[in-house]
Amino acid sequence: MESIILMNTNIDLNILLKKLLPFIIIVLLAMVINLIIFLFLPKVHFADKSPETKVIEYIKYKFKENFEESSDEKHKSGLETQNSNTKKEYELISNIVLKLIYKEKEHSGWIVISEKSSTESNILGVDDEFNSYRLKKIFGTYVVFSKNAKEYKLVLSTENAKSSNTEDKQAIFSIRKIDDQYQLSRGLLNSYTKDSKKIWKEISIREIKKNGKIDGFKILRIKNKSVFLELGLKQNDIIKSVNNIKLKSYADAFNLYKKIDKVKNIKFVVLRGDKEVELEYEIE
Amino acid sequence: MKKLLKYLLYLVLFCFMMIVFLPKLNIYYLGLEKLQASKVKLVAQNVEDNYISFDIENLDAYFNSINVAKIESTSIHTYILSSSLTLSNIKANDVLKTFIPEYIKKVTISHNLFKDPFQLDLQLLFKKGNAFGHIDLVKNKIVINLDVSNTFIRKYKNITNKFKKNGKYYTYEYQY
Repeated sequence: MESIILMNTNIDLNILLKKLLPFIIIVLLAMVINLIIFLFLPKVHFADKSPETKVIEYIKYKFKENFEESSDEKHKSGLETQNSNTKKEYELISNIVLKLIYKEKEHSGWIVISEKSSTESNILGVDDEFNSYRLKKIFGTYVVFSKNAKEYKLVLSTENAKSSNTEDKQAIFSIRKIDDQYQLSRGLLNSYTKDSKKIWKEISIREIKKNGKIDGFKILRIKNKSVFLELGLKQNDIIKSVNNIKLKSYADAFNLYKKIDKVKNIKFVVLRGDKEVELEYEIE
Repeated sequence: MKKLLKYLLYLVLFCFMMIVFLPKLNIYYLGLEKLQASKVKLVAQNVEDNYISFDIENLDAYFNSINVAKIESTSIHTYILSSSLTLSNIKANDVLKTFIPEYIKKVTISHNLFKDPFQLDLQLLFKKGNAFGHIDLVKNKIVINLDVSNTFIRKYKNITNKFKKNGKYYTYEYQY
């Protein structure tokens, strides 16, 4: 009787082993394959720690222009033409005198011109024609005409340059607000950076401390009609950062001030009440 | 038929065991090395190999040493026939906030053999609104549909101006 039970157990174990063997082989095969894969893979990652974070220089990326440039070939060629227009040397018109420029916005306004041989003056706006020359763009001291797919430059005559000085100044020292962004002329910015006393005549600030450390600069006073008011700053605003650099010391502020003539964009992050406000300026 | 089922069972078991024993952590290290060549660095606080999933916690993504995003949790799941990569609570750096929302709740990239073996499904969940789409691996095409408010469209116009209004959604197609 005992021997029959033993035989039965033996048979069961054999069957069980036979049934399980393929599964065991599969598991072992998977293990061996993965072990081989493991041998070829890196065992440790040598630099699994945060890199020294850089302070990002604030450069406004003209995304729209650049993105469209890469994605749209047709537009690309259009942009290239535009860019080349601003960079290329125009042919000069010699028989016409540019007497006055009145520039309203970018490339718009009106001009007064006349032929050298005539005393009669003509007023032209953008896209108006004079002797088959079509007025295309108006700049501070010159204008661009087009004729037969060529572009010609006409420079303001020196006699009249003085008379349009006021308009030029307006163009040089200007602040414009387009959408939520201010366009600030380099001339205006330089007039303040070269004469720091001018800044403190119009605005006074004081550092704000948090846990004994500087946590921004509070605007205590802004003079009426000051350029800082036009720039969107308000009394009691706390300037937290400029161009993504947090102002935590006078040295931070001074370093920014030293570099200001090189920047193309300025972004202020200002604490106004309990809200953070961003003010962006594009330097022209 | 019985034999076929038996072989199918063997195949499923083999695939499952391959997933279980796969040296996921080492593959992750390899991925990090490859990314480093493109100036992308990922630094994780905690990495866990959970047999059929791989979880990364508090991942910092750096590009050119600039911290571009923080991802609270990243999880890769593989169930033989379907796999998914889920990124949760993504906080983008301030510098990117004019292009993408500062906070993205969840990004899911999934693959399902039954649904379409040559397609990866995408799903993004923002604070307000969501986006969905797919990557067609045969046509090399990415399609993203935005289901967001007009405020979102205006706020991220640098990106959304590439999307075309398509009924209820804004759609963007990119051939790579």
